[in-house]
Amino acid sequence: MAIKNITHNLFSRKVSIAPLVTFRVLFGLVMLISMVRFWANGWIDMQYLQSAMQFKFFGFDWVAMPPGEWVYVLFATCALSCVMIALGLFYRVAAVLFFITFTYIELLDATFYLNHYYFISLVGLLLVFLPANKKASLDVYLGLTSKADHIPVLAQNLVMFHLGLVYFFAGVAKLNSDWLFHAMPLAIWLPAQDTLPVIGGLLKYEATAYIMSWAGAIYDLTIPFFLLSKRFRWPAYAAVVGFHVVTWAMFQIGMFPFIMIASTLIFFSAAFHQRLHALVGIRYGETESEPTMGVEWTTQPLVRLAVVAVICFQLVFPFRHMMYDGNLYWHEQGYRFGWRVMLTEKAGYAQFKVEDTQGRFIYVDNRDFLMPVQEKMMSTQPDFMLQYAQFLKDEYTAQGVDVKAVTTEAFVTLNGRSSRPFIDSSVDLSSIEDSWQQKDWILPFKSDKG
Amino acid sequence: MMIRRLLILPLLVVGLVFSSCDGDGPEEPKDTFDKEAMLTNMASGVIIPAYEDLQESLTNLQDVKDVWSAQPSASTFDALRDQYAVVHTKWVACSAYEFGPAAENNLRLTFNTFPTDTAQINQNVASGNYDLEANQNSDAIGLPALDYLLYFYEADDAVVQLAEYEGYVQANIDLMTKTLDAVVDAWNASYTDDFTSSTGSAAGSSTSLLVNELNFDYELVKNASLGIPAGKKTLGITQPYKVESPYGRHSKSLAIAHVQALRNCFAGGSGQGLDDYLDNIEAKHNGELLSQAILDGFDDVETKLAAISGDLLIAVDDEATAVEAAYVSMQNLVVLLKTDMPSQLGIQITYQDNDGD
Repeated sequence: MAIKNITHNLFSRKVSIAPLVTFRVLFGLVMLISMVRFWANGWIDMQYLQSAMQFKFFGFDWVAMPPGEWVYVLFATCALSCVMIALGLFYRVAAVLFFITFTYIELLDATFYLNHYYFISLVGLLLVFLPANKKASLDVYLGLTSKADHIPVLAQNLVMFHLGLVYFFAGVAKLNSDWLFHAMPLAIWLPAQDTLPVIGGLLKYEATAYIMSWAGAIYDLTIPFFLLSKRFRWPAYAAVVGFHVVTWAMFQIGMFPFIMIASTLIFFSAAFHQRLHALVGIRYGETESEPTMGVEWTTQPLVRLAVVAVICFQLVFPFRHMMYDGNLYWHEQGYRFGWRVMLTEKAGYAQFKVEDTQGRFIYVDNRDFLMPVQEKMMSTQPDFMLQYAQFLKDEYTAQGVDVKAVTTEAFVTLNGRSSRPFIDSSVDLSSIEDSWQQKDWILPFKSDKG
Repeated sequence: MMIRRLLILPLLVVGLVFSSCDGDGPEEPKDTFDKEAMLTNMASGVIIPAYEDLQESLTNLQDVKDVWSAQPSASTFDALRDQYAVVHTKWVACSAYEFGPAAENNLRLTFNTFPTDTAQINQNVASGNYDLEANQNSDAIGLPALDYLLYFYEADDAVVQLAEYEGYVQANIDLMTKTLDAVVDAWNASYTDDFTSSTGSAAGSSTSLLVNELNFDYELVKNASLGIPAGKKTLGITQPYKVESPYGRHSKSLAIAHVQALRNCFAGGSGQGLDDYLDNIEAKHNGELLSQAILDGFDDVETKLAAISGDLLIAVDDEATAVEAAYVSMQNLVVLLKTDMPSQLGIQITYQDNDGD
């Protein structure tokens, strides 16, 4: 009985479609702005057409760069799919198109990986399966789909789960000694922002870094639950807006604040959304007898199994770093796709050397092959170093060098500590295949502070 | 109920943090560094004076060139060569500031693209018909072109007498003067205000530009002036003629002057500089002040360069050990300049969005 109740509340209960419709429209619009902004900043050219090589995610090295200027077509298609999602036009096709184009773009070069891009890809995939076009959409207007004022609660719950995931795991990641007991990296970042209007003066104080570190951790860990509670929803949402506006003003985090401010509206009640929609003349029926969508699909074992699998995966995958010895923030094995945001102030320098069979060396100038942002990312991320070593081996072999080994002397500074040797400089990185195995050629982390 | 209790938690934490500070009395802000003062000093005490020195040396170059044109002789020609060397030395002190007006006017490319394209220069001199601002001449202009013109044609007085030759010298002086004047005018007009008021730490802020360009220029000395001629990119096979001044053989003194200028940039001349900023935030490296470690690093590089006895053109082959020592010393300092310094200052060096991982 109890279990039946739970599954009813999580899967099959009928709720108003209004919150999901708001989400669909705002997500489409914010993503459209995001794509246009990216284009207008000249980043398509800068990031995808200027680079001699691209770094790939493990397992995705087969993702090839589109030929020539076709990457613009990719962005245009993605932007178009955003418009179609917002309008609810050929919605299912649009969602598929969005998921594929956006994910494809992100897979092109892992240099530009951001947690929120991963989030957007996940939501894109989710949207493919959600009935978000059954109200206030051109699909309904054109008769391409049946209209529904009510849908199974599962749709909304899945979106909220993914939003909660971002916050909660970002909070879990903050529970480390650098963040809590050294206020790092905020103790570095905040004073550097001391010329900001209004709050600038406060940022000089060390106590501010501690307060903001702790407040940030508590915010991330608790905000999903406060948003779920009817009583604290408004103050919680005010906190969401405040938090994201402040971080947007202080850091170069792009569209993430706006995506979250728009998306978390889905936590508000149906009544709230219906009042919102009434402003633009969209009316909802009073009772469940109004047009509604069947709930049968949410009771299918395959659907339920898939939902449980997604949830389990998302709850476990961020913890895969526990398979590896040492400090995660140092070695970064299992770091990505774990909602670890703004956690480290990290910089590195890697002098690669190509040795030929006669024992002679080439000292590589990274700027000959990498863009500044690629060099920055490669210098602190060991899996990129493997790819770069392989690239150098191929590059110099093609130039006629009899390459015997590619090694690196790399130094990294983490959260204000002195720079330290990062990689075993005797190891031929070009002979190592990336894998899930422990990368024992990363030197152990040594701290010169408590 | 549960939720109400949760709400109390943040308040508790905030209270705890404040009370733990109470013991030390009223807390002083850790960071009271006046970035605007540092930037003002960098502009008016370091960068603009460097440009004005260069301007003055160029004016003098024009004067000695006019004397030589009027009375061509061995002594007036020597005066021209000497003044070229002065200009080149003044140039390296300006090389690190390739942002704002300098970037817009391609100052570094105009003054110091090397190795120079001698075939193109020969062709231009022979034809007497060229546009130095055209793309095909981008490697045939500026100081490296003068280095070639003034020292390589030495043996052939007949060539030096040619009007085309004199014209090419003059055209290069004109091009450098015009480009530099545009840069100095921009600094004196409004760029200084833009520069000193951009006090943030984001990409494109003045501190970020300074740190980024200091690094870029430092690597230029390390790689282009020293590493490439020493064969660091070519399996140890030296490429002597890729040094900065292969004909006049000023490469070693230019490298030393360049490193001194970069040290001066870091130290803010005699005023507030990046070293003071690092001291203010108590940036340390292995227990000592990071600023001191960097200054010591610069001193070590200078000592190692000075220990090379001949010019780099010869030394890359004849004094391989001394050249290697200088290169290793430069390499060691890159780590501090490129990782510790920007990281401690919390500076963004790239424009792209990031979420800090």
